[in-house]
Amino acid sequence: MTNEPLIRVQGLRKTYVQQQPFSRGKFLVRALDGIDLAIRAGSSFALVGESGSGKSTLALCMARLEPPTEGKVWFDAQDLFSLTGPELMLVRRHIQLIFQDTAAALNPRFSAEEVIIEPLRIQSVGTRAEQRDRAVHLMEKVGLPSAWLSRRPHQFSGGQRQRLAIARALALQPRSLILDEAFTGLDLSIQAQMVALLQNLQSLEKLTYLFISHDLGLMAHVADEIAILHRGRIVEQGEPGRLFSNPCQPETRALLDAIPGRHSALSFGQS
Amino acid sequence: MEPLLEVRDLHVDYFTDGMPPVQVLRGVSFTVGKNEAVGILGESGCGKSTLALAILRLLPFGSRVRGAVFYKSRDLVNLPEREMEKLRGAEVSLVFQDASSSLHPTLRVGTQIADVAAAHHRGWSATRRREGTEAILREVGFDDADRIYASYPHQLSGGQQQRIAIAQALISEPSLLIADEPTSSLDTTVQAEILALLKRLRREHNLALVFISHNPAVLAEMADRLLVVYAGQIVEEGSVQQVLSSPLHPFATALLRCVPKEVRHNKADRSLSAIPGSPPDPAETPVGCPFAPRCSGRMDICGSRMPAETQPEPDRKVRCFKYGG
Amino acid sequence: MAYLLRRLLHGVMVLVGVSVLSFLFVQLAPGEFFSDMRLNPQISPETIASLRAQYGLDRSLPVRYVNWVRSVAKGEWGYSFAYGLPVSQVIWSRARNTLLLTVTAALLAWLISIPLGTYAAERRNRWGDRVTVAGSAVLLTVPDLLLALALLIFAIRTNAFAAGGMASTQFADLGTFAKVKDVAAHFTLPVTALVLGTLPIFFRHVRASMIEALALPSISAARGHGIPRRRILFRYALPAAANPLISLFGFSIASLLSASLLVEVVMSWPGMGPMLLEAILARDLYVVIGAVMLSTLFLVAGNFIADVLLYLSDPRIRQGAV
Repeated sequence: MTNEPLIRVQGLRKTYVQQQPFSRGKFLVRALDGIDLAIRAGSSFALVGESGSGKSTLALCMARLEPPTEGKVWFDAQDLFSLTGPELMLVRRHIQLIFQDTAAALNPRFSAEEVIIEPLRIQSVGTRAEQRDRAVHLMEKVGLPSAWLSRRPHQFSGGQRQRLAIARALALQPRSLILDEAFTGLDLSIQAQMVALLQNLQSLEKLTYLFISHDLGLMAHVADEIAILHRGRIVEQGEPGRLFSNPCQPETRALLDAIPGRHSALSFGQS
Repeated sequence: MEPLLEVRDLHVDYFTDGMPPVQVLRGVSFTVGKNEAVGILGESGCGKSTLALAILRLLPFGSRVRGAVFYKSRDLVNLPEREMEKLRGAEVSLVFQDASSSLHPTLRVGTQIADVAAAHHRGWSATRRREGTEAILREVGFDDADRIYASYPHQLSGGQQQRIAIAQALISEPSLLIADEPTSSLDTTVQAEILALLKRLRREHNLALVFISHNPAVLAEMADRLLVVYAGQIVEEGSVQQVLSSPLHPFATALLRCVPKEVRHNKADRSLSAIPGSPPDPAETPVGCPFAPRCSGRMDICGSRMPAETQPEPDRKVRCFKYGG
Repeated sequence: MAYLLRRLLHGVMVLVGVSVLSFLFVQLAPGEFFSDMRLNPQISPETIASLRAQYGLDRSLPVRYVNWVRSVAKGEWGYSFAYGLPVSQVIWSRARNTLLLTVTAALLAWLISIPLGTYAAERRNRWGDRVTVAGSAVLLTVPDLLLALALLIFAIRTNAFAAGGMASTQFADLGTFAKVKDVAAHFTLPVTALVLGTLPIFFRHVRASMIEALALPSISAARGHGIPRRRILFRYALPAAANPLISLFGFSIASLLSASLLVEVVMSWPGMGPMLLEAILARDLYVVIGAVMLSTLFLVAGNFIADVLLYLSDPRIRQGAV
């Protein structure tokens, strides 16, 4: 592993104009107010914040889906926003996004197979037969029966759809995945399955993960490093163990206190 | 002491044209005492939401209810609809998961609360209703009650919308509040606020609470007693401490291992053991114990018939062959 | 607000566009008012030429258009060759009669379909619903023409209603109240035909919108709070169902001048229908254009009214959130 981080963000700012619901005026929204971070290859990084903290905006900027007002994003030492054409296409392969609402993210008219090979088609990778083989391989990799390739997304359960989205994300053999609230709304047992799957895939495929979530408790299980986002700024950052035992900032403490059951004396099946 | 709510052997089936009936609830029995907080723990599709709707007779057309529901000894299943309308919101209230869709989009939020007051306090004048609404808005945590009164739901955040729904549920001073996953679609910090609000309101209004959730940690905070539901049946019952610290049923044990816990420093420790397979499809009627396909302690007898409910300890019930049945 | 002004501007553009297009299309149709005269050997070509010059038919199309626009500004809307009167006079007297029919029919159709559709939606798939839906299906499949004729035959056979025309022959001699009764007796039949034709469509839309509205979580939540059924229907469900119905309402305004054409012709009601038919056959150019423009005006107004109502009914549209 090199010392140079795989993904680096420097001085990222994003502001836009918004209409106030209760007044006549417009005002400036600072969604991102100077973000610096570095993610090492092969590691899992988590951005934790509430709604409105700017975390989704950050995900979009880092995936080059939204231009920042200021600042730079580097992927593998390349300036993401100065790339064009075939170079950009190549880098786009390596930053794949997974969203929360899979029902909306997957085209309901596509079969599972078509969903998975769509990125291959867009980037013109492989022949039709090779693409089909890859789809079978990916389905099995995410733990779904390959017989389900002909089914439509709405025939899958929430957790199964999420697996399908992961399969699609892996189609182009990316180096990194950005998961934006990918676990929210799933049953606990399904959530645990997803975590296990992702951890397994990470070591198999040498993936780098960026998790975005409001669930600090869950992120402590999946991340090597956590950054707490509040109103567009990173207020605290560190290893989960350190954050939990020694939180410095009030926002971090607030997020910790909010974890349900933290103050009850129960040990959840451990006694 | 007479329980506030008693549910006895409740069965709910859904009928759709041309298909066999789906058994959503298969014989559920439990009680809720005055001021008691009962938690209902289960995954998607286990029938927990149906239970809430069935108690208040809000099930959609095409469902059949068998069994008994008693509220203060009144038979709710056979109550005339007129009487049921008077009971809903005034004696037993319901708070849903998604406040943004349970509030009407084109009516002002204050009006929606006042409407509930109008339904149950026929004698109140318009001014009295307005005062009552502003009072309850302040109680649920809004400082600027009259600005909020005039807002529309889409102008409020998720947490604010849920507070409005709670205000609607409580304005007529019910004795029992049923909350169906009220915080599952909210951020963790907002969830903590709403849970704290519910705890405070419970104390101040002497409310009994039925709290439905898929998250054991939330129930640890909110409930005194816990019912674990799987595939339309109660598979374990006991106090919250007992069930969450030393669960008996394999499903409860496995589910608790999925709760993210205090993190350890070693990355190798940072795994969450998962339950293999998926929650069962209510449309499929199992032979034998419905959890058997996912159970690590599965025995031969588990596939032959449904286990009966047993009482291995005082005040604890479980439905599993490991404990007789 | 800006939204509504844009819609208004849009409507004006439609009117201008339609005027130009209808000019072009009428021009493209073969023949003109004086074609028949040409066949008459007793009328000399010079007479025809001077008549044409008098009516401006010898000028080029753009010139005629500009003259027509000037005439519109004066309130005359051109000149009718057949009647020898300004088009506005000719059309308005007929339009009044048509509106009498269609406004009454539309009001009745809406007043019946809203409660009926709500009733059916509430009792979905039960007896009450099945009967009304089947009834509307039957009415829908019967062509309007057949309905009108059937009613006419029924009226003639039974002598129950005045059949045909708008007034009896002694109309002028009747006192005011008797006049009103006379007209009312005559318009029962055409109004019935119109109502029977449009009712099933409105009913189905109301029923469908109400079924959707009643299935909304906000309705279950309101029920859960013990809000009585009646209040839920009017305060919660109907407003939620209103959106598609407002568009339909706009459409029914839009078609106020055109919907009754068939019925008017069959029942000899002196409305826009028969007049337009005559004018087309006679190539009475400016009458045709005038009628088309008036219909378009109603169309634009109907759409605009629907836009205004939507704007007023949904705060999310007002605040630009949707």
